[in-house]
Amino acid sequence: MSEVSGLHRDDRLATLTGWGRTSPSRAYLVPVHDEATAVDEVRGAGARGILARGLGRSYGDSAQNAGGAVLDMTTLNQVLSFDSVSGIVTVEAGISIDALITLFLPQGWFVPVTPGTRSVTIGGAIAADIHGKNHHVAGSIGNHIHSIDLLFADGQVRTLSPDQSSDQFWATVGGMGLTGVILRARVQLTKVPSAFINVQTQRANNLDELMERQIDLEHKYPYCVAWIDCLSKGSKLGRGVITAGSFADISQLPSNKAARPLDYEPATTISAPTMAPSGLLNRWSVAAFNEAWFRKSPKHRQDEIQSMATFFHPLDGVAGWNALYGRAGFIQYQFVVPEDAAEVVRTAIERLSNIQAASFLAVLKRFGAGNLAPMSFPMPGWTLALDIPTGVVGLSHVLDGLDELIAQAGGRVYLAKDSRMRSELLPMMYPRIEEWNHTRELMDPNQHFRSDQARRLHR
Amino acid sequence: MIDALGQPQSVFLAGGTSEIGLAIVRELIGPRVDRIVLAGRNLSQMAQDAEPFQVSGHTVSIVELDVEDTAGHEGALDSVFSQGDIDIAIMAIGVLGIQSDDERDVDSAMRTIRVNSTDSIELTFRTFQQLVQQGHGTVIVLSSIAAVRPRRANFIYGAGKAGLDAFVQGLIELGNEVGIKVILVRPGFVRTKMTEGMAEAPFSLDPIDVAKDIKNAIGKGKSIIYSPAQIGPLATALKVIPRPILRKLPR
Repeated sequence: MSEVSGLHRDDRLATLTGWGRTSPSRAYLVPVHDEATAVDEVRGAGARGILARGLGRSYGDSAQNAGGAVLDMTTLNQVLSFDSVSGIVTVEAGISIDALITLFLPQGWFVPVTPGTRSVTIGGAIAADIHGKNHHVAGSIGNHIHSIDLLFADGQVRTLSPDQSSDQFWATVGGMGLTGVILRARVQLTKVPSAFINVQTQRANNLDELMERQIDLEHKYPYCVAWIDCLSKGSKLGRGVITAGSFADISQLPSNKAARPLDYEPATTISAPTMAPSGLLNRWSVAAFNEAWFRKSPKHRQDEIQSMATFFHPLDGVAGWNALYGRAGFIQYQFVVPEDAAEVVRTAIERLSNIQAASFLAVLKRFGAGNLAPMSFPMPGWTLALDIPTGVVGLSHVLDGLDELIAQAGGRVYLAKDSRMRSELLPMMYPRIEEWNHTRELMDPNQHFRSDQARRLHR
Repeated sequence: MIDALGQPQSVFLAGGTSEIGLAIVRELIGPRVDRIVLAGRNLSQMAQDAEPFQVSGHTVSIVELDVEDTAGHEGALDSVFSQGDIDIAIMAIGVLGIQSDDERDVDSAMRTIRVNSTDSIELTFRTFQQLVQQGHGTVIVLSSIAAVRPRRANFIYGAGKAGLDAFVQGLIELGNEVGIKVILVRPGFVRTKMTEGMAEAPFSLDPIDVAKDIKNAIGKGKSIIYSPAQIGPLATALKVIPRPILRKLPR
């Protein structure tokens, strides 16, 4: 108790939250410019442990470490080497997907997997084993990593790959930073003919139709996702708009674009107001938006050429959009259920609609096969992701009920989004957790690597 | 950890036999609380109070803590916090004293003032520092309407609570800077064993009412809570009522 003054005065102390801006906690935030800094910090970690953090896009408390140290990895962000024949790039973990795209798309290479935002680091992407619109053909990011240089709790850096040290590699993929600090990774990029997407759009009037059409479209296109209007009820329940596509061949581009097919300029961003009043996004404003969005979407449109950024990252056009939810913040709820439990998706939409949980963003996608990582989120089946403001009355009870339904159906909640699930359900949702615990125990016996989410969920 | 919807996993009650404190614990625990720590002097009473929580599946631990034994604060808190993080700490400490005795016996009066003021401040401050060390948490401190407007019938108790109340007002600000949420509660007349046999004041309430008010106010992000809410404006009014008139009001 005699050292308490330290936590009051130290300039390095920062209050951290996830993208949902809920559950803040304080930690020593250490910018990492080189490997030596990271090694020193890991070796000197105190009783509250240490954790790597990227761009802070996980929604809940998974990149926070209350009372301990947090390594800001975004300053360790260089490309170390690139093989233009194989498309394998070696990068430092703090590099963003945005930077990778900006550097390599003009050379005809694209990231193998991108989430709905370019503002994630490669380290964070691996730790969450992120997925994208091409999961049904490409799997998650872990499937495209040749090796990881991981800083272990003992201060040693070891190279992990799926062939050698396979257990430790796959425990780190989807391990939410709890096995060590990812310093570098070798990533397999994907060759693309242009920086444009040939997009197919279809509107569906209810959930069954939406699912049917999505299954049909994903057989034809490597990228596919549906936006769902979660506020529509009755016969319109689950209506939405599916967009699918593939990178356009030069022959498909209009002549102005065909001349320079790999030109890529991320759209300039507008900023959301930083002090938005809570409740700006309420069920009326969201309902109005959803109605407009649904009506503006074509019933059926083929071969529309969109820029990469428009297709993959529409929200990156609005910087700091999370502030639209105001001070109280919001929850993102994402789950997956096996194919045969698709009814859970309907139940989720119904129950959330009943408590008028306005979801600005609701996205439905069908996953393909999962990978070898015991804590990876994707599994074959349907995944629904939605945003909900925290102030909705009865929300906790409804989500607890949905969690149980999902767990019983053999599904799971995505840890990179989670900020509130009950710890008892974790082993049900992630049945291979014991295997992962065992590997983690070997890698970090004293649990140096800690997060608020781990404190909440792993007991 | 407190989750995104404000639900705690662990609760610490200093003043482990306090009826208001226990009511707050009952109100705050939901499906997520699995650890409750009761700290106080009366071990057998706390063991009894722990039972219903244990029956409903919570782990309860009991720590011996005497607010007046300030030298023992640190050791007691170390054993509270050594069992894991505390998400919400409830400071339900203090004594009402017997005003008629305290008026005649300065030693007795000073004890009432010390327990409610400096002893309570010390325990609150040490608890706060523990939360600062763990990097997160909320501390709820029970003050009293008597701290805002001491009356003839309770000014000795009120003087002590006023010291605590002033300290905690500042602690709210410090907490803002260091990421700890501090909540100051000023209940009116609460029907408990402590007030048994006393004439009830207007707006009297039960411990459960105070607990509900606190839960609602936390949800709204308030840091100073009157319970019931109506006594807030009343306290302000009492401050400006001339003393000769105040003297004639019922208690």
